Amino acid sequence: MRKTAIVVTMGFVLPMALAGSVFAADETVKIGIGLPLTGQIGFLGQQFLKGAKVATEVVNENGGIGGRKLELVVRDHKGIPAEAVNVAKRLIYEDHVKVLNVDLPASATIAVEGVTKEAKIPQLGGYAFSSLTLQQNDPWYFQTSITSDTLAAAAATMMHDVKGNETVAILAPNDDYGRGEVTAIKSALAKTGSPKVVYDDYYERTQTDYSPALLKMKSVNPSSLFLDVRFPDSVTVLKQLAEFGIKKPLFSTINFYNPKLVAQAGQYMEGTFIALNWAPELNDPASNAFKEVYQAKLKELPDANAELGWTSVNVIAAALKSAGADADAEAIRAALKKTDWLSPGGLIKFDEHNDAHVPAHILEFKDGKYHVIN
Amino acid sequence: MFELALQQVANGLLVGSTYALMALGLMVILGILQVINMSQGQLYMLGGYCSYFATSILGIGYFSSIAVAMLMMAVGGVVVERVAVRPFLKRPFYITFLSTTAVSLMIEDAAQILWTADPRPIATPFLPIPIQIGPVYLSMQRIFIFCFAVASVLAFAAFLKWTRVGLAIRALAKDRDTAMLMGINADRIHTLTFAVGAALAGAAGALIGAMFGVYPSMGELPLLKGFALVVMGGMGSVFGVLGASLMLGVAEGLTAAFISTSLVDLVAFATMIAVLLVRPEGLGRWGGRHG
Repeated sequence: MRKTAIVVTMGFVLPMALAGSVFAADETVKIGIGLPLTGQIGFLGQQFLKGAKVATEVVNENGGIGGRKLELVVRDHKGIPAEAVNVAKRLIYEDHVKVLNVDLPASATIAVEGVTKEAKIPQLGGYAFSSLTLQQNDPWYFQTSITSDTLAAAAATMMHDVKGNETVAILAPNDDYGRGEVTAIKSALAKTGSPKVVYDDYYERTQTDYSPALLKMKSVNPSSLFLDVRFPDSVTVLKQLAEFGIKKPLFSTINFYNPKLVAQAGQYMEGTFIALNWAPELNDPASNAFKEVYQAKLKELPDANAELGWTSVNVIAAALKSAGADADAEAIRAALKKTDWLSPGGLIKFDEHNDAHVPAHILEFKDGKYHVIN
Repeated sequence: MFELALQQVANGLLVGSTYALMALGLMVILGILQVINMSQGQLYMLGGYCSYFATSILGIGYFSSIAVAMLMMAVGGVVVERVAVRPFLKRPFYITFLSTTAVSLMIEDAAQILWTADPRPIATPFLPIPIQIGPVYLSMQRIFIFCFAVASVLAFAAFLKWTRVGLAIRALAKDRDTAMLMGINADRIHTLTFAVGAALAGAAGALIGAMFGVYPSMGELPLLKGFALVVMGGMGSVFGVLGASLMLGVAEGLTAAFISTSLVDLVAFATMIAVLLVRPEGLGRWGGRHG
């Protein structure tokens, strides 16, 4: 009898409580964020989220969206594309978000493009470096992150400019990002003429030992190495290079900008050149404003991943402010098209393919620190 | 070309020995208890964290931290056996499969919440300086792991062959009912078997975690490869598992060198299927009736 009473009470109370939360949530303007917050690349998602949350706080402190609070609805997809699709569907059909940003890795972004295209909901690629995301013929997708083509062009130029760098061996992750990046690098190097790619290979995200690939790289004796390897794999790769006595000039991307990597393997990174979207070493007004507010709120310096989250939410907020808090998806898409916002990484202004063309920056790791080259 | 092949074979043997450590812990539980312990990967991960915390917080030396990891995981194994295996031993095998899977998910999620996804480096006395033997480059840490793994396999084989407990374990594996009729306390042996299997996983976590960092999901792939190696090795053969592990390490190295790194796992599991096609009973086994 007592059990029945509890069940009946719960049956009434629970739906009412849930309904209450729905009514309360209606007062906010929701953005859906899907990221790997756990799993191997969970730390990238966590950093992106920090930037996104700081941006949301700042937007709300400045009046929100037409007087209504901006709310991030965050879901974890563990970096698995199939999970990312489920997350996107829940964000759209259960959470009723206005705009989506589901990223990391790029294969997750691409998988979600199918969902947002069908649902006609704007989607931002805030952390989707692969140029493949822009090749889906999707009018609902907007890329605010740098693309692998831009990164590759900058990386090819920096490799070309190093004297005596005649050949290069490449290692990248076996996913859409890695394959897109290697294709882009090869294409960019074909334009610069040198160095010549003498080896390229991919590692699996689940891989822990890179020695077979590194030994193969060593056997072809390249002038330099381009290692687009994610943290924490980068720590192992750098240590294993030292184990096998492989000493070559190193080139990389955002994956080698990481204070934790410096702490664990900084001694093996000396002289490494890095092409990336942004770094806290940049001193322009937009970067300084971002660093100031981020440090005030989190008592730490932002990194390149946090900058992507900051930019994504700010771009969405700018479009929502312009379109209005009650705007429908089509109005938000039109507002995004007209976005003109200066991010720390560069001006966000979309072209006809919805690419913001964020420029690349070159850093050198020297004397235990990153230095901006251009 | 020959030098590259030689280097990959040498490296593959060292990599294979790390697989053997993980597979041995799985083998002892699967081969003897007929329990698919899905939490073994997480015990391996916890072993890595034990070593990390022992060295970084308690200031214990790296070699002692391996012993700490083994001890702690032996206790962890007993807890898993009591909570998620023993209550379901007389139920169909998939019940313990599910219960240990639940434990593995809980442990990994708890680790994620407590320690985040960030990998932790274990401080070791090994310097990343190459040791050159002819055309082959090796590292002191890899040689140590290889020696530790081979010594563990030999010690475990000796334990099974020449101790009373080892005899009891083998008797239970061959014919559980007869062994119990002969007065063997099956419950005690089960607990002990879990403790030994978990301690081996803990050692593997401490050794491999020191090479590649310690993080919550580090046990997922080794678990999968470990099961494949137990099947390849012959569901209960210590030396079969060692042989299969070394073979897998070499196959992976040669694949990476002469085909592609991205096909390493494909070739690894294709090797397993090929071995089972040629030798369905695996590379070696104790023989006798199981279950």
